[in-house]
Amino acid sequence: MSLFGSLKISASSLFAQRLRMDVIANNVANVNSTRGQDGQTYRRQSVVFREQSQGADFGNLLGRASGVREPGGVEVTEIHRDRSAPRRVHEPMHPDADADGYIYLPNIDVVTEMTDLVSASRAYQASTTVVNATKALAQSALSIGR
Amino acid sequence: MAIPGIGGLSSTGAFGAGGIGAGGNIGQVVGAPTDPGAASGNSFQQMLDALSGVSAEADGAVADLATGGERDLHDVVLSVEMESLAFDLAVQIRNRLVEAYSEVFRMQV
Repeated sequence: MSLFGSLKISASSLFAQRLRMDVIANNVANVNSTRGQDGQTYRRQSVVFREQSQGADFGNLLGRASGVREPGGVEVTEIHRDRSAPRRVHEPMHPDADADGYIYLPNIDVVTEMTDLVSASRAYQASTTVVNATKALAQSALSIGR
Repeated sequence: MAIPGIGGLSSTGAFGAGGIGAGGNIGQVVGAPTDPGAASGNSFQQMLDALSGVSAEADGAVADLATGGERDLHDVVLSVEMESLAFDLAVQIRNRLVEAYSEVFRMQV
């Protein structure tokens, strides 16, 4: 692992949590949207994380074969659309109302989004702490023998 | 934060700018020294090349942010931090080299 290894891992985490916060912001913003980009009712979105896969160079392949893996950070595999049923609200005057006068609002619970937001911002702060610790370690290593 | 003296020494950075990882190999001394004087000079030169790569990446990140580019704030800050760490490392190595050089000069003949 090079000098910047753990910094790169933390950077991937910062990026992932940042994206998660963007998706949460989009959910909260669209809590009353009856139409999404596809014309259907907007569906709640959530991000799916997984451990970042290593490149296919010789060192990584050898490490994989011998069971020794270097940590690679996190990556976002997809932005998942929640397929649970939308909320059904009676509002006959609404242009998107169906024949019975019902509109379909997104399956978003603002409380859930807020707890997700707290979780994402705490994870972001944790990664920031890792960055600072890494930097402090590197600086103390540089001061050896000074 | 360009480093003029270093930029002149190396026109082509050994490590291209590609996201945060640019110049990640700074500090890796390449090759076994056959001619000690030339070898330490070469590896120092390589280190300077890598350093100017990291520096250029940080410069690009800051300029990108300032001109409203699509860059995350933490990306920019991390680039600048990496540059600062790499520069500290280079300064330390330079100090040791100069120390060794002056040690030779102090040698009794």
